[in-house]
Amino acid sequence: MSEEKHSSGPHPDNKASLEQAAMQDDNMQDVHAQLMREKEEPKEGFSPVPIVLMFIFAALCFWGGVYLVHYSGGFRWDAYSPNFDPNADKPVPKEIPLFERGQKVFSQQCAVCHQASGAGVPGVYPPIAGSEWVTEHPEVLARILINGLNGPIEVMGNTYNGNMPAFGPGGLNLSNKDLAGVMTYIRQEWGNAASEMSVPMVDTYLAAYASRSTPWTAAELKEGLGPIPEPEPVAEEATEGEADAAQAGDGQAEEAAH
Amino acid sequence: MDTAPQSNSQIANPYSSKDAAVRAELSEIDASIRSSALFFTVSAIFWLLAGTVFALITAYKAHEPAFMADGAWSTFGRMRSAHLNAMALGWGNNIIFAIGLWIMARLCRAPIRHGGMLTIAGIFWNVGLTIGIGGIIAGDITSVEWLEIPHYATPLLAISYALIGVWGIVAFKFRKGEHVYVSQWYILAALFWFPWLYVIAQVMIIWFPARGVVQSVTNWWFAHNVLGLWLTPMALATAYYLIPKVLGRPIYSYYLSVLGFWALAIFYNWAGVHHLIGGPIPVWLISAGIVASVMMVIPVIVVGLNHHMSVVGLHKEVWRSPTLRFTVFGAISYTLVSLIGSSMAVRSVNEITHFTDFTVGHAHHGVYAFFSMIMFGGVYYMMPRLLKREWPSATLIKLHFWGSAVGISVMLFALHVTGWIQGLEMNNPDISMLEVVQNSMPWLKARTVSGVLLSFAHVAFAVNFFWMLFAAGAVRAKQGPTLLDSSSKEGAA
Ligand code: HEC
Ligand code: HEM
Repeated sequence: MSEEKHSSGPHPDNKASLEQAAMQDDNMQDVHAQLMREKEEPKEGFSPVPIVLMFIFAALCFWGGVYLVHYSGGFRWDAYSPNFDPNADKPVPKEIPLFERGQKVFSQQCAVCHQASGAGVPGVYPPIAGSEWVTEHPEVLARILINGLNGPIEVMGNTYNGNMPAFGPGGLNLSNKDLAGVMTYIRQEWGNAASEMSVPMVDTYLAAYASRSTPWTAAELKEGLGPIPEPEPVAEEATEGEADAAQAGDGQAEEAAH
Repeated sequence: MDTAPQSNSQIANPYSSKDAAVRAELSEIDASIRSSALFFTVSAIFWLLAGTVFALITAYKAHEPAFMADGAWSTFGRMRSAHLNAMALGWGNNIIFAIGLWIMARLCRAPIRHGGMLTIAGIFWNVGLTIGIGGIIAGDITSVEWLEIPHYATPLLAISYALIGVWGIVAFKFRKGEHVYVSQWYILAALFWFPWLYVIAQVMIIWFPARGVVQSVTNWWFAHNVLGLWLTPMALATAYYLIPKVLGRPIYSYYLSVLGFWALAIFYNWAGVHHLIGGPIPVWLISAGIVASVMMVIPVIVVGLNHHMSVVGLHKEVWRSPTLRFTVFGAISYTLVSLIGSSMAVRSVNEITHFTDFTVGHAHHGVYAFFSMIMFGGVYYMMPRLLKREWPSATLIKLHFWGSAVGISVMLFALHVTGWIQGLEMNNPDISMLEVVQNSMPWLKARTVSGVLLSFAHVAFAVNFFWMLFAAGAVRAKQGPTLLDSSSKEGAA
């Protein structure tokens, strides 16, 4: 520091100013000392990600998915408890009406032979539409479907002689609902107008005939039939509709009267 | 330094022309940001001291409620919120503005233009904050945690933030070089995340309050993301910058950096609702928050591994460098606090820890042991470069480190233990609330003791800092950096 004092004296000579310049250089070095000793700007290496980490992360993600499925309350805005079960109070899915179910079963199981129109194939497959075997005693129809049919049979004036497969537990094993459905369907489609076949009815017939292993013949079908079960009470709607119509008529009548 | 596997051009030839050019550039950048970074650092340290005073009052009142009970202004609620805001928005944000912008400018190799404007924006920020905290103490505090600042101060804060944040984004826009370093991703992303969080929270809670539970969902989305998408990325960026700078060794793996960054970006935003577990919120939202909180294990392990592998084998250097002693303490805390946080989000654990001091302990684990320690490290590294001076006293640095390290450890231990006990006792209907509170007393006193230790540390830090700032030329750079272990002079700061 004393040197500096000297050099900045009132009569600076050449030597002193040279010294000062050297001093300034020294200062410059001081000034940049932090920078000069600093390490390079940071860089990144390229070591691979350890494979175990990948397994750990995969496991975590799996856990996350499972957790969300279990505790998300079905993603409903009004579910607040983690134990909320979205399926608990869901209304039981509405039963498809027997007729509609039967329509599906018919097109999948029967239409190959009896045709979608129910008209059958002349000489080979007897018609369903208009057949008295279908529309008369429900037990007859149930027997045909559960155990199958064999040998000559007269349908609407024509005689057929073929094999109708069994759809009961000994054959293609349709469920009781499918059987009730398809029978209801063929009894009520194409202008057939018989009562429906309820599931309980089918259950009764299944209990009676499931163990029979041979198909029926036309002659056997009419033997030993039980009484025809009471048809289900007719739905209210029809009458209500009629009442409405009647009222509307009244209204019109009144209007006309005015 | 020979242990560092990578060759270092400076060691080979300190004046090689390319290297000298880079250094000249850095010097220019440091000069361009000097005054604003100094302003922010000084403000940060003032807020740190103010926040410490509020903290001591709060901590003491927790077990001596009669203390300073004469005025409404000094009630627990106001002191606590004054503390929170002074620390988070005063110390936290100012130090981020100083260090984050400095690192961003350096990595982008883009000098800060119109640094004066930046300083003015900084003044606005601090004025806004002073009004806000004054408002809290005066009784205009809002009832929303983390957003206690009254509505007449927040627009100023939002606007001045925007003015400050833009500088980092502009620096990124004018960056040089192909490669974008991991610190730059974090800082850039955080500069966008914070205004998004702050403005949405202000609008939906303070200015045009949303109705019903949406408000509390927004509240915790904001509060948690301030930690995770603002303080955390900034602290990680700082650690990612300091570790290789001091050790002269590259970061272990670029791939881990990428994975860590994106996993944070994807999962963190969902996690905030874990503060509302058990609340009247659609349960799927809470479950999603829980899953995201647990998923945070991924970025945490990845970042922890990346830092650890970059440091491994150089523990002597870490211990000797003031910068790294703090930074590595912070980095280790990051792993710990995050893993604890993930487990706290699990329903069965949360049933115990919720509504207890465990949460307060966890908050300080994050903001102090992780964030603040790394930022202290950043200040120890940045100041010699900005001021071209060395730290005057290694002893004060050691006092700072030990005060902070021991103080925060005591606080964390006390709060976690008492929090857990409180949780178990509150879930037991046979134990009255009064008993629960009484059982916490010794632990709350331990927290005050820890607060005293931390205060010593902060004072040591402040003294050293202002000594360095005002006693110009007191320590010449020629004598080498101030290190914490005199056995070897050569090495990093
Ligand atoms: C493989 C072809 C085939 C399939 C499939 C088939 N049937 Fe038949 N069905 C026949 C034949 C052949 C007869 C006549 C049997 C005989 O000659 O003894 C018959 C007879 C009948 C009869 C009595 C005669 C009549 O036309 O009224 C009914 C009722 C009947 N089938 C209903 C069904 C129903 C319902 C299904 C579907 C669940 C069905 N069939 C599926 C071939 C088939
Ligand atoms: C000087 C040492 C410190 C002490 C003694 C201290 C003490 C306290 C106290 C007593 C509370 C109130 C807790 C309650 O509600 O019961 C608190 C809350 C809080 N402090 Fe500190 N603190 C300190 C440092 C810091 C720092 C440096 C930060 C941030 C950078 C910070 C951030 C917070 C936060 C975020 C809360 C709210 C926690 C929550 O609600 O869960 N504190 N602190």
